[in-house]
Amino acid sequence: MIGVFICFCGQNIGGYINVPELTDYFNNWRDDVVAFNTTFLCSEIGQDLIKDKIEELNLDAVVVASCSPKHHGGIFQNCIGQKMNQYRWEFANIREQCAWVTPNKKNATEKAKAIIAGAIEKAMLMNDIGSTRVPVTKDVLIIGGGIAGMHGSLELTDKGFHVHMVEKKETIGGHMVQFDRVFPTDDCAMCTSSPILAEVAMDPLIDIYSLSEVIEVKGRPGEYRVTIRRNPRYIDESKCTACGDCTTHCPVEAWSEWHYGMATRAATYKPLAQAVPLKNRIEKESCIRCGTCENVCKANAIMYDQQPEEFEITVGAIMISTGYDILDLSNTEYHQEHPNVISHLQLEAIKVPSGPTAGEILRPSDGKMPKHLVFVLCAGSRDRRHNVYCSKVCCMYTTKNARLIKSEHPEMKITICYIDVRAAGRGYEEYFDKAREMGINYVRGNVSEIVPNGEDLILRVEDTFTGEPLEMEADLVVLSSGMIPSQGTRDMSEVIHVVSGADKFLAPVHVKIAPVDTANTGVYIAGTVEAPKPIQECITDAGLVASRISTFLKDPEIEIDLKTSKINPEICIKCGTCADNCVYDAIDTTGEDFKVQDVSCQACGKCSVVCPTGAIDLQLFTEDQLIKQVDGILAEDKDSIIGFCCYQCGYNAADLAGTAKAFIDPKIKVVLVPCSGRVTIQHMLYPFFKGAKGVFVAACLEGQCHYIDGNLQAKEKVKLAKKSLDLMGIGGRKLNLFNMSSAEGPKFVAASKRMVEICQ
Amino acid sequence: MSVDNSKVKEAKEAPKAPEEEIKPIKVAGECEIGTVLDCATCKRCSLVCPTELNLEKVVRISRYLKDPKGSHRNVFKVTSKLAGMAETQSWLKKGETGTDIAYFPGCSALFDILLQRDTNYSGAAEAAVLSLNKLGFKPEIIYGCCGHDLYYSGALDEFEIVKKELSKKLEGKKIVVGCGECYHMLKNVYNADVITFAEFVFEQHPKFEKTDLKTTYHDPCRLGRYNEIYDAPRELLKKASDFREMENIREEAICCSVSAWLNCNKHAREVRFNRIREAKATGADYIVTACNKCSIHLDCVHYELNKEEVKDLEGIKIIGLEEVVGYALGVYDPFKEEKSYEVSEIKGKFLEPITIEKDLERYIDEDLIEQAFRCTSCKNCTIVCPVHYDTPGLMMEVFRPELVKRGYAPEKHTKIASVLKKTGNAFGVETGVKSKVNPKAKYIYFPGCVAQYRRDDVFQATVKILDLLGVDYEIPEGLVCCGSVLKRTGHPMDFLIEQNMKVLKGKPIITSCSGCYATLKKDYEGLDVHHITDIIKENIGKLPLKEVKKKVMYHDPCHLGRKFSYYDVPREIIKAIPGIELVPFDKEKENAQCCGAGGGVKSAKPDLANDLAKKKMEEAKGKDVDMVVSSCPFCELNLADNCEDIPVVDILNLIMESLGVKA
Repeated sequence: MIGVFICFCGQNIGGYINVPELTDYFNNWRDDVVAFNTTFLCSEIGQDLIKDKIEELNLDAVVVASCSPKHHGGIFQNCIGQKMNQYRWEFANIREQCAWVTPNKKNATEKAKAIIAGAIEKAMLMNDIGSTRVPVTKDVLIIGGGIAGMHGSLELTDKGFHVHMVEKKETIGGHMVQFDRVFPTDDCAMCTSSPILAEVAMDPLIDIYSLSEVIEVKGRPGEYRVTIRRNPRYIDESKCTACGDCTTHCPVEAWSEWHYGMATRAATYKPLAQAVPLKNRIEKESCIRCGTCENVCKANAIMYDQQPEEFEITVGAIMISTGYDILDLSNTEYHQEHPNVISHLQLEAIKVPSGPTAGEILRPSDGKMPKHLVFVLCAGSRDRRHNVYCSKVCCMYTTKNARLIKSEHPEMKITICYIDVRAAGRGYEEYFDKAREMGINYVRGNVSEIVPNGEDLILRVEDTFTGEPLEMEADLVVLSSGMIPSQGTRDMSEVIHVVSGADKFLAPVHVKIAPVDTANTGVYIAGTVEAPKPIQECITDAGLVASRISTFLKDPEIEIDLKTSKINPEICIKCGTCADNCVYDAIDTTGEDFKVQDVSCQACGKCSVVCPTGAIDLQLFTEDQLIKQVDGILAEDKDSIIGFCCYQCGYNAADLAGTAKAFIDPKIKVVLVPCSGRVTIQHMLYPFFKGAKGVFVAACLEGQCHYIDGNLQAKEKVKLAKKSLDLMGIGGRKLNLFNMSSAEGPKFVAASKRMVEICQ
Repeated sequence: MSVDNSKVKEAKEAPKAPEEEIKPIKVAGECEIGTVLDCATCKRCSLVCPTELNLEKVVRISRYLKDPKGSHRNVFKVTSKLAGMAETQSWLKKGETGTDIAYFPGCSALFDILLQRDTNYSGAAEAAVLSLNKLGFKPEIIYGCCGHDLYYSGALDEFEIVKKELSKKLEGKKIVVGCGECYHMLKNVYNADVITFAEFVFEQHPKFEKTDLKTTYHDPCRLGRYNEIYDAPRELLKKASDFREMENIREEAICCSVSAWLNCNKHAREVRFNRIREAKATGADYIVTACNKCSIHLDCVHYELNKEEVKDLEGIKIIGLEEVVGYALGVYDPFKEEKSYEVSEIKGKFLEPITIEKDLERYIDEDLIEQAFRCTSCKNCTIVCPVHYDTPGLMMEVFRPELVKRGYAPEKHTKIASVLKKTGNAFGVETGVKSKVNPKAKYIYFPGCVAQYRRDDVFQATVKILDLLGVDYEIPEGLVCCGSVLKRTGHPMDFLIEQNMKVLKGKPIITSCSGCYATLKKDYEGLDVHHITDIIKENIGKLPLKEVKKKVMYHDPCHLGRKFSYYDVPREIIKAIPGIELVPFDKEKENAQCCGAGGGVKSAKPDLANDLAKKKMEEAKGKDVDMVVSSCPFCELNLADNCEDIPVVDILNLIMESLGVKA
């Protein structure tokens, strides 16, 4: 007996779908199905209803017809888990993917019937999923030693965890230690951060690997095996005393990367006096191998032939805090290649007291103090050509820099061009008001072009208050360039397979209620790895991650649900195709029978697709379950277009289309799959046999598959299936694959529209 | 289903057991019955079936009942269904077409596309058309699916649709077919005017360039055993290449292991490995087949060659007969990399879903019922089956119960079942069991219906021998028939198991009946069952056996012999009797021929049972023996019924004679 529980969700579903009719319909549908409805199924009353009925009617499985499982899936799983196996249920997403995208109540009700029928058919085949306990390692890996990484590491060592901190640069500290002062208090950045640097350096529970990168992560939650590559410093860390003799004698003068080219350095240097580890480094590209340093080094620390080394550590959890970079706006309308057009990070490098001008504002081309300094806000932000998003912190740090300069040089003319000033935060508006009172000139207008004029510059901007086009001359322009994920952040999405959005920032499981958790259990994100944000939010993130990690690793063992693939040894011919196709090495081919290693398996289901005999199947999305779900849908509405949507992207995009109340043709019926790579050719062809008008697969953007290559495998399968549909005279154009990210609701809408057009 | 009637009629008239002995095949383990998957419908079993059953039909209908999923994620079953609902586009890239004759290329292009391997199985079709061109024919090409895989995977309803559509295209044409499956279907199921490519080419007396290919020929079941086409392909290959034969060929050829994409599993894999090993042993470089599926299934090994286990199979390639012919005619290059198919993008057709209510009645006809109740459950088929598929098991556990449920059981069987229900024994004797109550006894003697009510001599002999051996036994009250007859006729037997288990639990059981032995051992749970010959053999020294100067033959009861490989014990006992000369039947032990009585045949089809018994006894008569000995009262009953000249006795009676005791 299957129990169907239909939620009104107040007016959210009830306003669009005739819930009582739906309930009646399923009560008279088949003898082994009963249906109930309630106002809010996720409420205590709703949950009690489910639990009571499971007990009273001895239900075999439950169908929850309500919102997206991404929303309250956990609640229902928990609720059902109290009465029977927590996986003996299936959801029918009739809110985001039905009620909210189908304006006509009758159509929406009909579509809901098909969605629920599909869910019932799948629920009939749901099996118990067991769990197992596995040991966890109490060590934690923190990737990126910026302010978030440092703060997180101290929080964790306070709780007794051992932290391995991997930093790509020669010192930890990140962007914050490069700043002069920070808003809204105008504190000296270094004064606030150097105690933290020192504390991290001295903490016996923190191992710092500088000049290092994480190149591979294997294993499972609680026991990740991490391969780290340590790049050569060409100076023996154990011997170097950072005395600086080598730097003094080094004949080389090169632009300093640490100062964004605003200062020079020797080939052997330490980027700042407070560097951690406090060791010199030889930068190989600029080094001329003259041997001077070798001669002067009393500690014998110079090692020209040092090689990169790789080593493995085992950790229980991972925090990613690899931070941001900014857009390079050279050779654009902003002409950053002009010596007197600099980014705000370059301005900070000039402004720091330890900088090349000892904190004085002198323009790079001739070292003169500018008379008219113009800040360009939203440089590359909120702009379809560069970053569509707002970088959140630019308005404030620009105001900060303008205020600091103005207070030291009241004579200097300072203009800030802006679209609108976003000063949301405690004391921020007051801070901005003060800037205007100080005589900083705010021009509301997006700079359309910066034209070099000898050493000076001409800015074209429309003052949108007066509607007049302005042309202003400036002798130094500072771009408040948009923030982008750092290369390290992008690398992590590949190395650890953490999902990223269209903006390439890493994506949390839920931006609001699980802001630092990722889809990978035991992997968390903090700071600007997730989005542009101010320092205090990075610190908040880091604290939360430390808390999440200590919760995750609090026991010596963790429980893992075995939602894995399973091999039926009776049918398995041990050909090894599945093992070859598994990127997680989760199939043990050494024993008498092949076995899935439960803790390694990530439950993507790619193995079940390639198995020639059908011996291996993913338990929560078996071949038959998906076929039955399609059967259920098409039995209610044979004209449907079946969309197999990947849980990581397409399904979310479909939900977003719902949240945006976009229109989606009711013919479109979504079938959830864990990865587009789970969809077999049978799944693609079978719906046509049952009369479906079309089939599509919604997969992640290429290069962004959560399981590495599932979407590419799907692409290949769709290609073949299309060809076979053509061959059989059915027409391959009725089957398509669409790539989209989880954030691209409009793409899902467009894909649906396209399918409806094709399949008319 | 008009296909097989002619053959059945023949079979009804005079069952002929094959003369030659068919080699039994060794496999890793037994296959499962319930899945109805494992049979490759290769028809090797038909070589030995004493009642000449058309087992492939039984398997097909059983699959209709169970609707099994296929390998490769069922995709080919789905595509076969789809293929019948739309119009396959023309995909052959090369060759001149016309209307001289028709050519049916089959589905190879679809397999090339969907198998996701870099293959060109379509090359066979291209080579066929080019060869026909060279021989002066411009064929009309009929694209479509013959529906073989639907037919053999039990999707019979969908097959009817495919058949209806394709029949229209085939009408009135003489069709050349390369693929074994297509040929079999078109010839025997569609009754179309077809000829195999091999025969057609052979008739043209083509001029071949002898190629340097070293070949061997794998007989596809559909061409070989199904249609007895063995020579034409061989003749062509002999002319076209350096040809050699494998060990198992023609009628006895081993199947490529899989049929209708259903039964790929480790047993099947073993079969195909062995087949390829057999081919490699000939020194050939190419296995030539005349069936697309054989090519694909044998070829599969090349997609797992990275595994140590199959390293020895490297180096031999699979090639279509058409390709060799095309090569020898100089019109086709089998080594080319270019694909032979081409698919263009088309607008296509929207499909109306097929909704057919499944109904077995549609496929039940007189022939099917006849087939169902002719099986003696002798298991000779299993022994020669490449995967040891338990066809009798399928018959007893899936097929007959369904027919019985629907009221198609032979009247005699129904009667026995009702009698059994009433009296607890198969003969309806109401006197009850000849019990010997002794709760403290170590053993239970389970006499069984035949020994108690029809062969009292066997019963008495058992009791006396047990006493002589000093075996401490009892015959508890409340014993009923073991249920063998119900099980084998497809009737429920749970009530008997329940009743017997009340009494049987806990003690080792001795029985003198093979049927009881098999049933108690296989269908009851947790019983320790011994055949009496086992007890006797262990204690043979205790028996003062005297000389019996007789020439005897031993008949292996199927339920003791093939079912449990129990061949030697009875023979050793017989040989222990001084003066006895034991003469073998022509076919004995695992190849022994059934007495004809089992599986409810004696009651429902007495003529058939009698014919088989007579045949067996004729042989005994010919060998001039004094008596036929067996260890199953039911076999003895049937054999004795059919021969007046030679006595048929139980091994126990022979021992009694040797002991000088009259039973």
